Amino acid sequence: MRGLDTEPSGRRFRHAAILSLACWLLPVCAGGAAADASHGLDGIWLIEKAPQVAHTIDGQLPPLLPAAKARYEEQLAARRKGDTSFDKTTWCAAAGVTRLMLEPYPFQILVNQRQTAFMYEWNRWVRLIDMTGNDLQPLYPLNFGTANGHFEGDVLVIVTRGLSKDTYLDRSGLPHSDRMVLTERLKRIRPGVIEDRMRIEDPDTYSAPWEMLATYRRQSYDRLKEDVCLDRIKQGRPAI
Amino acid sequence: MNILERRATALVVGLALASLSLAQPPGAASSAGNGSPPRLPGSQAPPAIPGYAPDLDPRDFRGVWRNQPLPMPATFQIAPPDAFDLTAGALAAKKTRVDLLERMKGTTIAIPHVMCRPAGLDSAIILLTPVYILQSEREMAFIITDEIRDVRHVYLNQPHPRHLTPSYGGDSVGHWEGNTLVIDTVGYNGRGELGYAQPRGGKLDGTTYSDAMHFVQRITMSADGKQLTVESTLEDPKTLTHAVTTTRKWLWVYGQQPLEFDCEENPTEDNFADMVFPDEYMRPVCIRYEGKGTAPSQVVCDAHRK
Amino acid sequence: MKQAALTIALAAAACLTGRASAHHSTAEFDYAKLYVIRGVVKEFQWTNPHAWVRVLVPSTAGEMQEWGFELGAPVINVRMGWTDKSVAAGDKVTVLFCPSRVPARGTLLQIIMPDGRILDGVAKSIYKGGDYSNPSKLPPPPELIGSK
Repeated sequence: MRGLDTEPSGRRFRHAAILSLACWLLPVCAGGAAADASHGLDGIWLIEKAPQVAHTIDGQLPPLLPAAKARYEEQLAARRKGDTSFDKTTWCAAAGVTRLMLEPYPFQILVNQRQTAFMYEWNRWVRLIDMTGNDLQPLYPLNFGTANGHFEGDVLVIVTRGLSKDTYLDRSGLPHSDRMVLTERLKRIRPGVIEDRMRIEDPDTYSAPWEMLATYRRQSYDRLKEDVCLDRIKQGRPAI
Repeated sequence: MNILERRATALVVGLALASLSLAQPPGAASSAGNGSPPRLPGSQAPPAIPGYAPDLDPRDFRGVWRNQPLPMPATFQIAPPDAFDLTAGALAAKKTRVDLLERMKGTTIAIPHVMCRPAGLDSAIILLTPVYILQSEREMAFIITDEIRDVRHVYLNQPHPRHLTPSYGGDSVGHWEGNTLVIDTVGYNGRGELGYAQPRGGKLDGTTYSDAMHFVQRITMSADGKQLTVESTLEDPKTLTHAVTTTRKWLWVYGQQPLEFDCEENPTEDNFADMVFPDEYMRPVCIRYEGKGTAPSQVVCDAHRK
Repeated sequence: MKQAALTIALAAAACLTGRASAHHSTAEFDYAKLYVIRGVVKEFQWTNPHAWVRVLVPSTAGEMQEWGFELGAPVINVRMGWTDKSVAAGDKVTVLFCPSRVPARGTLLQIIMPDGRILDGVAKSIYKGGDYSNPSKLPPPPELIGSK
């Protein structure tokens, strides 16, 4: 743009006008994450701080109902003794949505018009979120449930139902029922960082809806590794 | 305005209009209706999702695609078995597997897709269940969520990394030649199988391919946007005496609700009871023992169990 | 008539995709034979790659045997009217099945629930034997004692 300073003012004005028009019409000129259709969510992300136990936004343990709490504590005790027979990720079966959002494995977001994909490195799982506005209903419980998403401004809102009760909300084994409704709000909060605010509504398991928050940092590499859990456990490494 | 300024202006305005036309607001499609659970009428696919229509941009493959059905067993094959001329080494390896099968009298051979490993090249050609294609400027992602679960990233307009860790799916890069997407894949780990056919009565249809496999795929969309012609060329000097080229069609699906295939979910001992393991790496670490009588079933993970 | 033709066409298309046998060989099962058992469900495994119904069946010697009946993957079963709640531990059921080479195992052709509900398994489309409209006329499996 150095040359502009030496050009006659009329031509400079025309150049500036053309560029301004371009920048108004082409969001990319605005720079930064809000410029693209993904509102800065596309890319490979890694959680900044992976919790051992999920807590609410205000730092509390989630409000488990008594029966669920008793089962959770039984399983915690069993884990301490090395028994994980109730956690199918131990044998490389699927992890649940919030668990994968809280694990220290990178994932990639790819926003498209009809679907948004969350591609997790862990065992190559992919969560597809329908973006067509057709409010897809669950056909039967799935590990990743049935997810419908849309943008509210620059926030990706995802509502997921039909989540199989055979998964856990986090590493420690916080349970949920298959009537849980998970609402996520993802957005870029500063350059290179996004957050996922996850709201759990599950009156069969928790006495009230509650939220947790996680932040993720953009990774500089552009390829996830191919992770094959069964091969890892064959080499004596943990499944997750 | 001089001619350069006019051209720049036209380009800028044209690009802007193009980008605006690509963006459709969510909910633009007509709604499915009352939100009651959809019925499954007995066809293979869940009901179509309203609002899906083929895109006519020949470089926009986004959408859901399914295999054009072929008569059995062609549906499970990359190409007819006699299309593959195996090297002496590959023939010997195949004979060893057939001999093992006959000696062990097993009816199922442990091959990658049966043992919940990525099916690599097979998933890139044979669609057992629909593929969801998503794309950006930097990549095209081929996602299969149902059987056999698979993700294939095709990184656009870049070379393969200099150092590749071998994998089941290899490393894929793509570029456009006109309106044909050309995908080049190398870096396989030598554990792949050619086609999904299972042996019957000791005759082995499938054989393995090596880490030298070089797989090139050329994909072109039809003018009406309803069909992808997928031409696949397999070159593997360790396994094949000459390259094999095969062409399939993938057909547009008017939207399909994604389903799921958690292959590792139930490693019941019954899966492995009648199975032959030519490769030790596939022998399972975790097995669900069903328990005699009323004893409950239990998954036991023991890498040292023989 | 048109509806029936459509249903047949869809079923034929389903067979052409060959989905049911993609996972492993069906040579394990003898589709020319059909047996019946009556017992109590021990466990219903609504899982991939196959769902299973585990049934406790008393042998003629009075011993409780566990029999396992394979179904398709959930996504296939759901199209035949199954859900993850179709069968529960404790249900008294009648199961028609084609036997496996593996003792006390088979592929489920039909299950009759305590309330008379009937659900079909993937074996139904492959079965090559005779009529089974009257399950009481079908033989029980040859008694299996011990391992193979």
